[in-house]
Amino acid sequence: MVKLAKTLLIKSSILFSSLLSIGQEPAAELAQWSKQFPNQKGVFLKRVEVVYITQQSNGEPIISSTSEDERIFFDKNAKQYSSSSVYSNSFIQSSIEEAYSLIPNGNKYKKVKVKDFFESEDFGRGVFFSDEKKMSFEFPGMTQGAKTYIRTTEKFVEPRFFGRFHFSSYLPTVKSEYKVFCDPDISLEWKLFGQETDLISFEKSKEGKYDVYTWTASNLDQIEIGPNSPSIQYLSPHVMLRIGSYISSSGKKVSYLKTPKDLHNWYATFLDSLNSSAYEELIPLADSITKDKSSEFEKVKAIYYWVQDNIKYIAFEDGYGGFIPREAPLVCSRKYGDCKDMSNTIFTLLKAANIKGYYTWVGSRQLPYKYSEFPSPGIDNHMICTYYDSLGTPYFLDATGKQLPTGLVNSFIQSKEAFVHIDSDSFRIEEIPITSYKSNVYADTFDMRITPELLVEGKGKLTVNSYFQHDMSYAFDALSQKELDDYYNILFGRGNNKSIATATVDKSTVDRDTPTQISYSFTIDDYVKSYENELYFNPYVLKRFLEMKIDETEDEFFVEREFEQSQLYHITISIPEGYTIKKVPSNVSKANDIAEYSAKYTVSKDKSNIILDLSYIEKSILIPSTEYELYNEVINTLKSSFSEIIIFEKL
Amino acid sequence: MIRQIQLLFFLLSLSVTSYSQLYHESYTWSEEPTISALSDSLKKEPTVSTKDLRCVEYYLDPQLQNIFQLLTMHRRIVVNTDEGVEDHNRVYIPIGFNQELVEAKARVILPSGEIILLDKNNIKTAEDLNEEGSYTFFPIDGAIKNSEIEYIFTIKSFAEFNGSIMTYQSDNWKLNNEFMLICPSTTGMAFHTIGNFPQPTPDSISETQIKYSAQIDTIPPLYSEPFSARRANLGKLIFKLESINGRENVINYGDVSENFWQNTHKEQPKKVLKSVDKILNSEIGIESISDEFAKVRAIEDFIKTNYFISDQATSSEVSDALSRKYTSKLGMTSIFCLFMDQANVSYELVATSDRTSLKFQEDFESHVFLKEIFMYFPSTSEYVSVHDPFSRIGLMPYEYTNTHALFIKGVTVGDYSTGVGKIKYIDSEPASTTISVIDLSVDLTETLEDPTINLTRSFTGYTASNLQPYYSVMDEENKTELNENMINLTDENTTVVSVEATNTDMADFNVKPLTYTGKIIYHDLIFNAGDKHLLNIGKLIGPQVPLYRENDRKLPVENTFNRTYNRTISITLPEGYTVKNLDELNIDVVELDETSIFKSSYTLTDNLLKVDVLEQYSQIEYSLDEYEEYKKVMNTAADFNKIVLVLVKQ
Repeated sequence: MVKLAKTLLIKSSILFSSLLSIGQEPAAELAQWSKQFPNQKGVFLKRVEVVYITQQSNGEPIISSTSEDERIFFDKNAKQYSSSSVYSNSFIQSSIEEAYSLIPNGNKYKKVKVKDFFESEDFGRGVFFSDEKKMSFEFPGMTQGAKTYIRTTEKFVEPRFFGRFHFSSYLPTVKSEYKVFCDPDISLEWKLFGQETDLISFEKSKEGKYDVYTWTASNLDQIEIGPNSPSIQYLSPHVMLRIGSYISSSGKKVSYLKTPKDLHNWYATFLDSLNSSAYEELIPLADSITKDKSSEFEKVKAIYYWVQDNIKYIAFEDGYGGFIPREAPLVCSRKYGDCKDMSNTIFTLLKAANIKGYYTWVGSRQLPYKYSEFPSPGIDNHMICTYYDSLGTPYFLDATGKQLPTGLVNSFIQSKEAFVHIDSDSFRIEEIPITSYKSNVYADTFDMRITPELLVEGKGKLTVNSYFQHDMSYAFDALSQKELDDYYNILFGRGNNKSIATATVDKSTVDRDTPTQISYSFTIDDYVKSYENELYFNPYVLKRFLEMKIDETEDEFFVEREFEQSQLYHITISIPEGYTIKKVPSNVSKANDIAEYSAKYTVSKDKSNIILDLSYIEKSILIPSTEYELYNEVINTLKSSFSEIIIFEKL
Repeated sequence: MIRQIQLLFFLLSLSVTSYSQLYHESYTWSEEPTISALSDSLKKEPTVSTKDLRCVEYYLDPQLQNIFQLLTMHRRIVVNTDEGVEDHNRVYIPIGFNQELVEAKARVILPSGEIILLDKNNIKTAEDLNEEGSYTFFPIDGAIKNSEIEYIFTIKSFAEFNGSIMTYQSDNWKLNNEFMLICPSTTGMAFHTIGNFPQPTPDSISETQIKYSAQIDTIPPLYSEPFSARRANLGKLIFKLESINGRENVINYGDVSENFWQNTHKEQPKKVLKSVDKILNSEIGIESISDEFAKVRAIEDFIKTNYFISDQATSSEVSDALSRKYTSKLGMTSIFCLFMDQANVSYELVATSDRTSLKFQEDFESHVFLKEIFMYFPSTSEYVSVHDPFSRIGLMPYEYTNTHALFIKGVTVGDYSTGVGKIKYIDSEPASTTISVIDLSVDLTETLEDPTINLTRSFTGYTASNLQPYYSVMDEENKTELNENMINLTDENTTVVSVEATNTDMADFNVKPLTYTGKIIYHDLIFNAGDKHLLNIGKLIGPQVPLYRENDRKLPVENTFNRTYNRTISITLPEGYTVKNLDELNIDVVELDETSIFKSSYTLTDNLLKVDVLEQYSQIEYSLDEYEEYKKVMNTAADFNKIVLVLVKQ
């Protein structure tokens, strides 16, 4: 299902435009644009896509488009922009009609056509097989002041995959235009997404028999994706389109993608072809998986975990094969599949155990769209299986996440809508909850003592659940013994880089339904400072928070976090023998709706220990720029507390 | 080059018989396989390779009248964890240009003993996968934890006689490793082994064939270690054709030199010569440059600014490159040669290998070592990298220093020009080439709370080479971000107040030091300790790379480049304070014949504390025996980070 999003994204990765501005001398043109866009490497002079939506004889839509783009480069190293590529697959077939460079040559431009095109197969990251093709080429003769021009045509073999245009790109854009000529018997639905959409103007007009929809924007900044930004779909202003309905040849109005119901009707056709008695073959397997389980919920869990543990994720993107799940018995024997294969395997095993599961489509958090707002295949990229317990509470079963307990979803689909296939005629839209920081806890308890030689010796126990546990279970499985030792040193090394940590975990006791515990010990050398009759000790031996401040110059609109979280530390510091406490740092705390930090000191009743309770909490997975200040207040409080120290004095 | 290979084919075709049975045709796997037994410690590893057999076989195809080679590979891998399964349940077989997959079979042996064979319908091919070349690939059906994946494949290609590398060692444990090479008895093969891989020995298997073979039961994993060349040290084998019918040394650098020179010095049409002359005169202004170093630099700047190497170049002709602005690697070498020839600059061509991945072997002549091309200018003893657009004369990329190389010099006899080769050594740059300077001052007389640090950092040589050439391709935002990162002395709790970078033009590279001047606040510089203050002075030399936990060292030390760090820290102490533990600043650690040095000393004049810290490494390689001394110096620098001065009010 990853295919869907990618298919539509292709539109944004090909960079388009139209007629060249002819007449000006190269030097004058370079001077004009580089003055208008100072400190830039170049601009898109135009990015234009013109779409024609007409009808087949039966009335169904046919869509094709032409895209053009023209760029000029101010950079002396313009050659770094030579490489270009155009993508194509079985749903959107792109071809390059014309591509050339205009190279400054005295008071004229010299036109040099691109001659060599190379086709390669582009599977993308993490995909095992895809029908995606990439056509690569170099614009020849690139120098300062050179221009490039490309015109491509796209044929939308599946009209439902049509409809996305990004107005800005990686360089500033002087003018972008998206123009759709639409047969009057076809109704279009559209919506703007991304930031600064007020810069886009829209006009609807009539040309001949066509309804013409035109969106234009001028002088747009380039899109900057900061280190903590959410995906480009949140940032880049773009329009999404879909065909709502058309009038068929018999004069009937046919709903196409008007409502979520229409999308569901189409998605249901992918499931119709599945063998409805496949479950019979899996009854013995389902029985063996659930044999010790009494309740239905226990059986669901057992089946869900079996699929997580036994079916490996291998992604295929191959035409409509990218949408139709493979039969569960085949997946069970092969032991691999993609998300929809795994969903179907859970569904079928549940059915074999006489339990009802539901196929469910979902878009990852990269796609900021909702089925209820914009029902289109471009808004999802993933499939899971939903189970409703006897109270009607939905459980979202996503076997692509290994070691995920029931009730926790992969972090990348939190907050998203789930599109649940109840049967061929009905569906539900459920909201997938965000796991609260109260449920995603990293709790670390440790003791430290200072030896007479001023070495710090510590031991502790870490308890993690939810996403922290999930991450750690991956490390236990994937890392070799040597790599695990390094990992423990990163996790449990304290104070300075001379710290040495060891930990032991009985991997056989790691269970996704109970929090994972790790016992560890560590030493820190060269950390305690002594002078005359005093010892100086900085109790903030944890280094993990320091890079967290939000930089609004890097992430202009949002900061995205993988999950909400609580980190709780309970630290006991033994008062060294023969010493007493001279100074303990002051307590600090700062809390708001975005984050929370507190450091609280207590001295034990018998005056043998200082106890530091430290907590750090993040309460949001998407922080808008208006909330940056609140977040940074918390981080600043945290940072300022870190320079406070404990002083022990000799008795 | 082409002539040479044709001759070889001719000679070989006389001697290679077309075998009635090829080795790979009869080679197969066990009919009743069981999962390989592993020791308890190996059972804990995610993946263990239990067989790695590779057989290379040369044969003559009587129909095609050409000599081919068959590479058969037989692997078995036990996967003990989910990650192990996911790493190995997809098999990718790279199929090079002009290669063909003859056979592929795969199966998985389950812990239950059940065997699942590869469904041949699952085999996929991609002509050019993610621009990495062609692949045949397939998923392994049925693989689960604790199963053993097994596959055999054979690839047919034109025979490669110039040199081939077989790397066996990896980051997994590998058991049952074997290499075989079957060739006609009229030929002789030469082998060079690296790491603990054994030398193959010949064994006559028939009147017409020799089989060379080598086995090694266990190859431990080799992990990367700091300051080492892991890839170059991985256990591997290099082989090439050595003799045919008694004619020895058939692959030799004499022929290579001749061919390479001729391929890069083709006669150019007058039009091309005219355009190059025009560029030299009107764009580069070569006439007005008298100094040869400057001449070369100007030509290099021009070529690297205006032309680039593209994998998509279909032509290596200079005439095409001049108009398209892009060309192949060979085309780029030809451009350099032509420009230098037209400018009357004399040079030699240099070919060698990246010492961090494959060390040049001066006694084993093979094309595998001739991977990267440089020009050497005898009048200045300087080098130019032909392929690297961000390198400039005066600083040879360090991977290609401290190594031998093939130097090819042009000779002309009458009308005939050709190249003559000689192996020479390329020295590493001295520690004085690469100097990093930190010069900072902080005044504590006004405040002890977040005082501002005035700071200048400068870089020359290799540390500058990672930064200085790239400013020209960065946008303003990236430049600002880089500048702030560079002035930000520690990776800890700091705020950059101001920063200015100078000498960031490409023209400054290898000419002037890249310099950052600015002010920062290091919030953890001073800790309040009641009536005393703790000054984190050690952090002011920037974070050091410690080797504290590197105890079980396996690899010898191999530095990237020699280097010097000069740091000067000036602190104006507040009135009425004294520093009690200044002695900690006196450090003098000199090891390994003064090639690894960390020295620190201070002066206190009135209330001005001045600390000078020198750290220097001036030898690239150290043996494993010398590692502890090297580590001692590195760790002394890391220990310096932990020095805290106690300021006491009198």
